[in-house]
Amino acid sequence: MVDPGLEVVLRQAGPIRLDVSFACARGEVLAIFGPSGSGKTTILRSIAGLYTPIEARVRIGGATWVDTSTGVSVPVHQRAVGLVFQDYALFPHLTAVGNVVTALGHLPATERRGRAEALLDLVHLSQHRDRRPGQLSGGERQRVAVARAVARDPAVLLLDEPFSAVDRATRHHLQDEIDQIRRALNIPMILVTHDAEDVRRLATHVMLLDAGRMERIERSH
Amino acid sequence: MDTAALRVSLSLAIATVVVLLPLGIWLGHVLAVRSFRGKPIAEALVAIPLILPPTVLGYYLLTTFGARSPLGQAFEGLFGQPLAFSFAGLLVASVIVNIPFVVQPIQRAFQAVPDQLRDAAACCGLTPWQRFRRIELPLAWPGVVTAAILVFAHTLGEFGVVLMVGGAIPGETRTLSIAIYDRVQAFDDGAAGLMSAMLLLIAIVVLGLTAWLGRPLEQRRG
Repeated sequence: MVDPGLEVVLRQAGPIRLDVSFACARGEVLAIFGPSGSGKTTILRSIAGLYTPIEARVRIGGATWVDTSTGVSVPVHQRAVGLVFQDYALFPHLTAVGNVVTALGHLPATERRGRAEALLDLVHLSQHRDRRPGQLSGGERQRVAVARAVARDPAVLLLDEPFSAVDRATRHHLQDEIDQIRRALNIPMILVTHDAEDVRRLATHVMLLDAGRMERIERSH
Repeated sequence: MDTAALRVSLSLAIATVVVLLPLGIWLGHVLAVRSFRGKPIAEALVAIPLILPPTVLGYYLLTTFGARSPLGQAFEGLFGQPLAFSFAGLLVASVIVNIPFVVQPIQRAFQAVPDQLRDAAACCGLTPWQRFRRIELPLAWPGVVTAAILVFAHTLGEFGVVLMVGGAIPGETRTLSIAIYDRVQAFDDGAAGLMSAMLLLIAIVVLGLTAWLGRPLEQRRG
């Protein structure tokens, strides 16, 4: 049987208007493209379980995370989701490696540190692993956030405007690294952005969103 | 110097902190992160000891603890001694009086933790208890320490409620503040001055500790 990947249906009239229905297969990157306030981040939060619209159905690999029609709702911490927040949301009291270890609770305690260091190597940040977020640049913090999201061993990776706070050169490096991670993980990825270059360089599909309503989905390249 | 009074004061201050801190952390966290009906009323109840005159609060506590009250009778039935004019009664009164001093700083400290960090912790797979223990509590820690020190200092200096509920039984309920008042009434300026200087010194040390411990952990490590 073919793995259906991620299937999402979200609908409500308010307070945040949503009317979207889409799927994203393993290895695909769906970019949600639209102006500020169009509901892009709310879609990611609904998939992660941080927000539940009035009508919601989210299925991943055949498992149901939420279905408001049957009352099914898996708590956030039980959903294997990697979410990279727009402004990183790193834990300021923990080092880079400590942030990544936090997402490795599914591994035996003795393996967590080694796995966290390997993930920081993957995003070229091994030399700064013992620094706290306040001692890292914007691009370095974003790399820690990506490593932490991947550490969860996610079934879906959600990226909320991951390059909005970094300069052009760093943005290109990060785009390349995320593309490598996409190939390595082979999971559905949803990328929220309002930058056409992000869509061109990373997305396999693009959804145009306007005021919470899905205009259309098309192949990116 | 009335060393028995100093011992009572320190015992009361330490016991109040030990009893009140877990309650303050729980209540401060609930008020900071949860929305529920009646929350403004709960916050007002927490703040009441701040605005009531100590003698009024002491009067109500005394009548609640008295030998004819249900609470007083139940306590005496269980422990064989009255609650009013005992160290236990003094401790219960001290805990009630100090609720706002512990809850409000802790509530503000938890409110200062960005919601996005709670969301990020949940997405990392942490259960609500793990999120509280590993993310929220360490970030709110300066507020918790400030609350503990405020309660300790406030208990040492409390006068009105202590006098109303505890009286001034030497070695049992006579605190340093009451001993100072007694010495002044007896024109014993030397002893009153020495004990006042002791409380002043404790206040300075406590304020210094509050300033140092209230800084984020990473700054303290230099």
